Amino acid sequence: MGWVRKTKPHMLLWRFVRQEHRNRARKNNKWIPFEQAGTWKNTFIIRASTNATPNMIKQNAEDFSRKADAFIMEIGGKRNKDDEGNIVSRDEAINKLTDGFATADSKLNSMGDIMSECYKV
Amino acid sequence: MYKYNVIILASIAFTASAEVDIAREICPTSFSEIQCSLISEKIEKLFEENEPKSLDEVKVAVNNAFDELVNDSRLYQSFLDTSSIKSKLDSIPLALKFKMIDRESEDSVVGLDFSYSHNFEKTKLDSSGSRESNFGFDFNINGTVTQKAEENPRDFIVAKVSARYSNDPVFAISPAARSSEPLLTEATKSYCLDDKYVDSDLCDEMDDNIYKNLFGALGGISFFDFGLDIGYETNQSFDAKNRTIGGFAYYSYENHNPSSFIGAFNIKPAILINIESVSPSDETPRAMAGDDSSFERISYEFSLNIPLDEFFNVPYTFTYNFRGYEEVSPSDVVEAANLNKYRLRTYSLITPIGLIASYSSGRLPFGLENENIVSLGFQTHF
Repeated sequence: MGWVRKTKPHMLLWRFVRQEHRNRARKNNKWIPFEQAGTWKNTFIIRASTNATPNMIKQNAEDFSRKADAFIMEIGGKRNKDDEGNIVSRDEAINKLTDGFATADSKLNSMGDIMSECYKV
Repeated sequence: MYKYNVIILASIAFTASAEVDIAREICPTSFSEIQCSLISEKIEKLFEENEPKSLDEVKVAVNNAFDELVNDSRLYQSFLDTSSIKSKLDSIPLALKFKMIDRESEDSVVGLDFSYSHNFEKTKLDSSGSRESNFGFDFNINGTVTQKAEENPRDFIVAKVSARYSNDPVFAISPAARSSEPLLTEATKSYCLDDKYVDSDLCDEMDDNIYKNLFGALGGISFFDFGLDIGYETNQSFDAKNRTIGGFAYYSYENHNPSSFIGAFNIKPAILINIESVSPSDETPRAMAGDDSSFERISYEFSLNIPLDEFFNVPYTFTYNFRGYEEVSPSDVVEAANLNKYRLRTYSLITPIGLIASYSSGRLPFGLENENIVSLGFQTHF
């Protein structure tokens, strides 16, 4: 599924990330292209220190995911249903986002599948 | 055009406000069930009592609800249980840096920087629920060792036991969060879900407002600790020793608001000041110069941590550290031997895999002369 601008859950995440990193995301009063933002490293996005241990990265990822989840639900996102038809819980969504953001050498565009799995509009 | 849109949307919001579930809309999804139920309970009660008929009355009711909430200690206690606050209390106890030290006028040496810390503390929330006080005991030891003690350019090991008190903010609901802005922005949500409009200034304005309403409280936070400590300072061969007793104050600042410079760049400054009485042993350079009396000393440390991601798009972190030790009213003998002031500046660049390149100039206590060193090493935590 990748990282697709027209896929609404992907755009929901980008709307949060760009609020977190406005000075990088906004050039000449315009947002940088969605696809370009997809190449940003997740360690940068979650503001993990360069010398952070895996535990510290995980903590940053969790803090960031909690904020992302709150923001996404606030701007009109809804939680998706899982394969068994149950609505993904807040904790499940945050855990999946945390794992995604904390994955070594991962980029923002790797979060698309997780977003589609956990959220809808 | 933008103002025109806002007027239209405000009108829509006003018309729709009677149908909006106020408690659900205002309670952010990041809140726990306890937090949400406290907020819902307070707002619903106020709505039942006031029965607002207009948007202005809604605003008044919501503001009143938040005014009551900020005085509810149960809400603050529930925030203490969230992981973001707990993370501040966590620390890595042991850090090691293995490094090659390149000295200006001597051969290079292999060294190890180490630091270990452990603390016990008791936390108490104040009656207003907006601040927490901590009382605790800390143990810290740090220093540098090299293969041969006489080749150590930073031959200074410090161990300290401290009794510490702090009174820090735990959470603050920002003025923005008290407003009824979420009701107005509700009407723009579906508009901004459309791919055609998502990059518009109007949607940015809405996202920005929502972001500030949710996280504005995570703006600038100051942490202030003070206490008493006793310490033991020695060189690597344990012949020169100082025993210290004194008081200290520590201040650090964090800002999590990306619209501020320091928050956007994740810069964290901190300063530590000690005033202490020092009892030196006979083998210290100061005693060997002819003055082995006890003395008073002011020591200080300033540090700055700057991730370079935002500045230069590289995943490195730059740190600056300045340490100073100054004897109060030194004797002529000590002053003449230039053993009354010690200063050390260190600039480091840290890579994501733990590689560290650093440059430092100056000296630490027990050091006889200033020395410039460059070191390259690897850092790991346990």
